[in-house]
Amino acid sequence: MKVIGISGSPTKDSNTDTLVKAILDATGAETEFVKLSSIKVGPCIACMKCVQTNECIINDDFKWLSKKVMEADAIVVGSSTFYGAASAFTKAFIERLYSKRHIKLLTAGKLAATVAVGVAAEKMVGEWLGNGLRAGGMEIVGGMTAKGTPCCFVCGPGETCNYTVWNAYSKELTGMNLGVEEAYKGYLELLPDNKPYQHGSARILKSHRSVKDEPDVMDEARRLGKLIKEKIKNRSRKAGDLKCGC
Amino acid sequence: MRVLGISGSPVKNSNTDRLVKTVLEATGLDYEFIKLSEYDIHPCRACLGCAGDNICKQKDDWHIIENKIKECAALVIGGYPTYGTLDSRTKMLTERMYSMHHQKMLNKGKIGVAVAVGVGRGIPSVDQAADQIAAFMQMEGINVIGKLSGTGNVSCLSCGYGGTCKISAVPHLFGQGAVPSRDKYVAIEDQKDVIEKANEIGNKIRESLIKIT
Repeated sequence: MKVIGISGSPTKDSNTDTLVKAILDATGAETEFVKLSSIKVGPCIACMKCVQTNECIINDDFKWLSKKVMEADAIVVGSSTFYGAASAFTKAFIERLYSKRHIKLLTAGKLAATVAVGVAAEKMVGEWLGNGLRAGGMEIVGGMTAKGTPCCFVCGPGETCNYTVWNAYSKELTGMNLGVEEAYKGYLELLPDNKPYQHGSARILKSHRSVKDEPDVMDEARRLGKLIKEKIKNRSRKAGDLKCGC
Repeated sequence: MRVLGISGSPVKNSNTDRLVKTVLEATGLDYEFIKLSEYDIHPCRACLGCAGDNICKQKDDWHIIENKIKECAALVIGGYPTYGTLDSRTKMLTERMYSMHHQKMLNKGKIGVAVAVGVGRGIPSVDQAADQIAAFMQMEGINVIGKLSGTGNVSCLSCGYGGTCKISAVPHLFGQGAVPSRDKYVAIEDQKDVIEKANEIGNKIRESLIKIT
């Protein structure tokens, strides 16, 4: 019983990493954690050379990573959220899994869980991740999201910059209430003279947000890990049961 | 160079490339077209090394592209959807452009156009990809004057097994029992409404730039 965890967050010891690892730990299985930013997995080049062999010809770390994915009973994929979408690291990895799809749908039947961490759009990213893995015929055991540390908390001039992430995601600019201010109560206080993209004015009350401080979030990761454990135990995988869920 | 066109499609002379080029041509201005797959660029590493001086600290071809972006007055970005969202190469471009965001918003006020080519035929992913580019541009303070979606070719048409593979997209897109055939391929040039819109957007870029100057 093997479970592989893959994080597409480039930040060292990030919240995404923590949650992926917490899920892995709770599976009680033989696990391995891979950080995409520590290796090289580039975008798909649409060469279609993988059609017959289901092996990508690009000579990078996907060669060994794909072997590990194929050996695993379950995969946990985590991503940070940049510009409202999964990180390019994560996106490139999902694209490269396309090599396993042709004709045989080689990843079919694997279990999968997803993690998405962001400031406003992490739910969307989580859904996308689930859809991407489901297109590989995987069974999504569950997905979780968490709020992370906005980069504007730690860049330096976040309190006075006009173009902070909370201003970019503001109702004034997007026309939607994405609830950033409410979600970061205790971390961020927007001052009355803050005007998105015109005049930045905020107080950063706490500059790092760690999922380790949020018991509910950590519990959810452990619950997902246990769910994977149960599912692996209970299921008898039918060989050749080809089913595409996209 | 007044107008810069960037295609994230790795396919040689792809429909995405040609649609971006159609917009560029229609501007009647001095333009340059580049293809991201011909450059060595990597995702953002979230190191925030750019927060103070707006210069990314990764050493790769980004700096060539960065200089071209700095020079242009209008930017046309073309991408394509993979698994329903913008492809990873174009996503990388957006992430690396973040270095130009901090405090100064170096691209603020530029003219922007979002282009995407996908399988279309009712599948919404192509519009999702175009929307993603447009939303990114808006976050960068770029004035998005046009969004353009075109129809391209699904890989299952050319893989060789599109008629028998159980997970082929061909029946999804062309109806039950459909198999790959030459007549199912589309070229962007044959989509008159798309080309017309591309020409309109190109003209609009020129007019907008005249107003600015």
